[in-house]
This record gives sequence, structure tokens and C-alpha cells, in this order.
Amino acid sequence: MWILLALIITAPSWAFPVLHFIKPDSSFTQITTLDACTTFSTTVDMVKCNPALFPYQADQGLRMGGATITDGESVNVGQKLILDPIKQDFLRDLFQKRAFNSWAANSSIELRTPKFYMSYDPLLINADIFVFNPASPEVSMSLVKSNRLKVTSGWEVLRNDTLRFSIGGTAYYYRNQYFRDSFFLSDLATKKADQLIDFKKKNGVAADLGGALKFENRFLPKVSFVVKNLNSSLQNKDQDITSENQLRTILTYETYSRLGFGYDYKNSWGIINGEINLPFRDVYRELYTEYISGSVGYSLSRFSTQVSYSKYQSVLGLNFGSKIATIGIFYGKSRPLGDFSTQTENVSGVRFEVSL
Amino acid sequence: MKILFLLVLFVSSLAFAEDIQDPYEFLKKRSAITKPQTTFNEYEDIISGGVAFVVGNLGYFTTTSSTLKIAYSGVQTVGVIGIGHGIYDYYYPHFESRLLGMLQKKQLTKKKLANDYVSLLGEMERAKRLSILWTSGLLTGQYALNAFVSKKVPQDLKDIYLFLGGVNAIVAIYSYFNVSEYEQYHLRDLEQKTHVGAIALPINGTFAPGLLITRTW
Repeated sequence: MWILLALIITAPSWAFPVLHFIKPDSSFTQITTLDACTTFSTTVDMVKCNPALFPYQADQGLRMGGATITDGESVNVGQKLILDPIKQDFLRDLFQKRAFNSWAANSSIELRTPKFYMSYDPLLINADIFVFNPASPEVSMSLVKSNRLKVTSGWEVLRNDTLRFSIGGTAYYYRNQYFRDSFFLSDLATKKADQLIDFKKKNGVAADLGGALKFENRFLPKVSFVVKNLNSSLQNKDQDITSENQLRTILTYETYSRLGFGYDYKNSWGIINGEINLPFRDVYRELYTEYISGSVGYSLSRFSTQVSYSKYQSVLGLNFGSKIATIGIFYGKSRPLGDFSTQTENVSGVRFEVSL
Repeated sequence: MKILFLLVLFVSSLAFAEDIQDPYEFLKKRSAITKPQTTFNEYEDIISGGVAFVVGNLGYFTTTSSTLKIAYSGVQTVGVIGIGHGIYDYYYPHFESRLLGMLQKKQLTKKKLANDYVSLLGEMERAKRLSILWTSGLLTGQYALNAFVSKKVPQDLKDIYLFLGGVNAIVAIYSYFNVSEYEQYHLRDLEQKTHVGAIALPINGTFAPGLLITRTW
């Protein structure tokens, strides 16, 4: 009975699932909480955590920002993958030095009004490469470059003495340029790298939906629901999941959902937030037990800090702001391929924002 | 018809009466609406700016990564600006409620009203000046520290720090001496004393003598 239950609630194993700290629309709080911030209704970037928190926000104006991994063993490799032409020697060197390499960055220009947010994300990057199988070396890649135009809004649908319930959504137009496939290293003897790595382009409209429930009784947890990337073209299909040589970013571009339970405690010296977040495949289809994350955060005025932990990732973030600029620095440790590789990586990154 | 005409006249006169508000009541209402509210406490911006200033310095002088060095330098600046903003918020009086306070005083005279009003203007100007003075003063020290104390700073970056430090030093000196007449009026009762003392500065393992001049402002 228990085995059957475990099979039902646990997602099937992946070929090579890759975890990232920085995702296409990650705010600083999302990075440093491993997305366990869907109930945080006090941070400046809460709407990115969950669009249903829109009625709680009071921020207005134009904001420009970006995030990138700045230091880590594989940053240079990841940058070269996206920014330079890929060459045979480069891939051969990788095989000898470091099997898995990864890099991520995002950027956005956002207009915040009391009724809606509108943003343009000019460059979103997630680059991963894994060279495996020593007997016959194989190169698996997931390179995604994209940009997005987004509109976000939310409404309070119920408020009484017992609870407060709000919903929200983000609709976005995306343009993806990607290569997600694998080839043998020996193929490079007969073909050029750019012949093997053929980038595809896809445009479309996708959406995120969210709900947030807050009880007036402070002993009851805040509950949130978020469904990400509905109608996204970059899905992790069943054949990818069961494949033995495909590299796929997880909880990033595909449709997935989250269920969050959070508490907060506020006094005159700041606010402490905590959340446990459960991610699911598709729309609450199967629980990813190994990617459950928990976070604790503290904030006072324009300073905030978060610590978060999941089975394969842990991160500490410090965010500092003034009226015109915000700079966040984070330090993380991860096993980006989970149980599929023992390779661990220490990374640090920066997210900055300027208000105009 | 006559009744209808009288009714319309009565209703429109009521509407007209509502338009003309009692200015004192209007000020009272505006004072309540615009009163600044702190999320946590009145020192929150100074504390959060101070944390950024301390962490920015710890990070800047300990990190070996050049990218993070630039980021921590940004954190230092953001921290100092935060402190300056906190000082402004702390000292800046709420105009509407203070004006209301003046009007509520019993035995209001021209002299008393003028005294309170000029003093209020002085407080407002003092808040602006102190905010600029602290921000520029701290930034001058910060950029000088970054340029001279930190190791492995490229000459280009050192020049930028020195330029920014110089500009801030000019602004700090100007705001130190540029006390407006309103502020002088407000400060007339505050003692302005100058103290002179001797200090020893640790330089290259030895101590150099120095002179410390402090002034209450």
C-alpha cells in the first residue's frame, strides 16, 4: 500500500534534470529562497514569487534589473557556450576537466502601476553542458536564450474577518532560441560543432496563475498556489524523462506548479518569514519530493536576508537597498544534477535593480 | 412645480455647501492622511543602511572576486545613501501636523506664530542639510578607504574612487558651512562648541600624532 502510494505521489526519475538558482523571471527573493517565497507578502519583489500577492504590493515606478552567477567553477564555460561559437577543442577540454558546467542570467525592465505590472525581459539565459560516458564520450546540452514581454495583475476576491483570498496572473509573449539535445564527441570528427548544435526558435504566449490565502488567525499558515508556464513550448516530455542522454532544466521553462505553506512574525525590529514549498510536475500532477524547499527570511526596511535549503541546493542571500537602487549578493551550494552526479558546485551571484 | 423648484434649489445649495470646506478641518484631514508611517520603527532606514554599510565593507575588504568587489562597493554606497535617507526622515518634521499644532495653541499671537513657523522652516532645512552632510561625509571616507586601504585595486578604479571621494568631500564641506538663516534661527539656542584634542594614528606599525577637532552642529 505504502509503495503504491509512493509511486503515485513521486515523480518518475529523470535522465539528467538540472537545477538552477537563476531562472528566467527570478527576483532576488526567489533566488535566495529557492522559490519558497510564494506566501511572502511583505517583500518588494513579492509579485514575482506569486502574482496573487499583487493586491499586497504598493510599489510604483520603473525598475531595471538583472541577475547573474558571477563566480563558480563553471561560469566561464557557461558564458562561452552562450556568447562564443562552440568549437571542437573546447568540448574536448571540457571532457577532460569538468563533466558538468552551467551558467544562468536574467534581466528585466518593469513598469509598476497600482493596477498592473508590465515588463520586458530582454535577455534570459540558462546554459548547461554535461559530458558523460567515458567509454564513448557523449555531450548533452541544454542551451536556452529567450526574451519575454509580460503583463501581471491580481485581485482580492474575498476579504472578511476570517480570511483574505487573492488571485493573480501573468501573461507573457516569449521568443525562445534553444538547443536541447545530445551527440557523441566522436561526431565532431566528421561534422563541425555548429552543424551539430542547431538552435531552434519558437515564439508563443504562456501564463502563470496564482492564489494566496491568508487567515486572520495567526496560528494558521498562509497557503499559496502557483502554476507556472502554462502553454510553454519548452516542455519536458515523457520521452525526455525516460531518456538516458537528455539534459533538461527542471522547474524552469516547463509547466509546473507549487503549493506553499508560510508563516510570518512581525514586530518593531523587523519581520521574519518562513515557508515550506512543494513543487509538482505539470498542474499538480506528481509531487517532486526531492525538490521540496524551505526558507527563512528576515527583513527590516530596505535590508533583507534569506537562508534556504533543499536536498540538492542551499543558499544564503543578503539584499540591500536605497530608494533608487538595490543590490543583492548570494552564495549557494548545489548538486545541479541531483542524484545523477556527485559533482557539487559553490556559486555566488549578484542581482541589482535600479528604480527610475 | 414650485415644490420641485424649491427641492432642486435646496439640494444644489447643500452640494455647494459641501464644496466649501472649513480650511481648518481640511488641514486636520490632510494632516492625518499625510502623516508618515513607519513600517517597523523610526530608525529602520538608518539601521538597514548601517547593516549594508558594515556588510559592504566586510565583503569589499575580504572578497577575492573582482566582480563581487564591485558589487560590495555598490552595497557600501547603497548603505550610505540609506543612512542619509534615514537621517532625513528622522529629522524632517511633518509640516501639516506641526502647522496644526501651532494653530491649536491658546493665546496665539503674531510673534508666537512667526517664531514657530520660522523655526519649523529651519528644522526642514536642517534635515536636508544633515542628510547631505552625513551622506557625502561618509562617502568621502568610504571612497578614500577603498582607494588606499584595499589591496589589488586597479589604478583606473582607484582614480574613480578618488574622483568620487573628492566630489563628495566638496559637497560635505559646502553643506557643513552652508547653514541657512532659518536654520540659524532654529539653532539659536543650541550651543555650538568646538573641542580640540590630540590623537595617535597607527601607521605602518608605528604611531603618528594627530589633531582632532570636533564641533557640535
